[in-house]
Amino acid sequence: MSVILIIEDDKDLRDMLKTALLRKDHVVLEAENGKEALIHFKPGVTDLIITDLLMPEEDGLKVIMKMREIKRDIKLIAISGGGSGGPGSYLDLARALGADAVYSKPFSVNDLTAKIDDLLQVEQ
Amino acid sequence: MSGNSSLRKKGSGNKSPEDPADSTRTSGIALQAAGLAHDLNNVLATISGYAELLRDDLPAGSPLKDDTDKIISGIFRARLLTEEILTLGKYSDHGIKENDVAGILSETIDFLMPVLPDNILVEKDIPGIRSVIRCEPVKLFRIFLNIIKNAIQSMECFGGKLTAGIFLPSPEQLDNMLYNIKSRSNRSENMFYNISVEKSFVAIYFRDTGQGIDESVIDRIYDPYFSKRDKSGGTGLGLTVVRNIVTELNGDIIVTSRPGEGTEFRILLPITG
Repeated sequence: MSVILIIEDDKDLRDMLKTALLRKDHVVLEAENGKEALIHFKPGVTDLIITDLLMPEEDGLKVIMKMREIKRDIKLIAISGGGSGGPGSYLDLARALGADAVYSKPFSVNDLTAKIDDLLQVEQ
Repeated sequence: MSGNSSLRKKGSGNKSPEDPADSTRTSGIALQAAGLAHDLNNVLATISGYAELLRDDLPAGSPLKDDTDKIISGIFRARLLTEEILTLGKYSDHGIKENDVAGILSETIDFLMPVLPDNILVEKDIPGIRSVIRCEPVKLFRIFLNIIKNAIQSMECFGGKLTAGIFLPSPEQLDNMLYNIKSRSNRSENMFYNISVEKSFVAIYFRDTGQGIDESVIDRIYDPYFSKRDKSGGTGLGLTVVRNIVTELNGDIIVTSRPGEGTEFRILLPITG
């Protein structure tokens, strides 16, 4: 059982991700934006963070950088609705800043949960 | 066999220098497009996520799994449209300018690569040649995008390969393209415009291994809504738009096709440098 923090400003999408993660027996924490996430982040408890990149009140790239400062080995997955991108895209930047995986919306939620299992197994 | 059809060439649409007011008018379109695409992608992600969860809940062998699979594949087709919105927005922020044709071709393909179906292979044949056309970049993007989408549609069911490339035809090659059309069995060629061998042209080609076009209908592929006869997606205006833009840019299109084997679109556009 792992504790996963979802940072996503779209409520419907956040609910979908929460549903998917609960079905895999994870404990789920939620935040609407990066600012809220940083206030509520519990480094001693949280195993993995899924963060949207384009959000009000602190975007996902800053979240990635700050979370890494707080807990260096936290697992981080970035998701973005800003296109598949390429060099210079938000997803590309997220990778460069240390995201362990990046997904362009819409993505396969089963692929995402499989990746989470993968990342958390490495950690364990 | 010659299927020439001469169309009046409109005066070049590139007469006036870039109007500063144009850039003001179009500025912000990229931002709006990005916002729209972002919000759409959020909605698509939500729908596809629940469709997958629903599929997982269905008992093994349930015929309803086919329905959920169709929802999911529809979502990923929609993703192609949001990518298109993003790229259109990006190109629409520019008025008339000098464009590196090879660069735009390569960018269009790179942008689409992540959202292409797994059963379609795309190969680029883009050497480092210099070919410049003065126009709004969104027009070149639209030509390339529409033909690529057409090729993908033709290969959707069984997969295939799309080769996209660019070259500078010599006067002899141009001459061959124009005048050396031989009648071949089971092959149709369609020349829609006239090209002058006195001008310099760039040739951009798209060769797919899809279902091909029957000789009996190849002259109608540019008709509005022609492609909607037997396809479920798209507006049916893609090739009409391609023809209109190519006409506007004083270019030509050559289509060769063999049913069951594939189709090649070859776009000839006069270059300014």
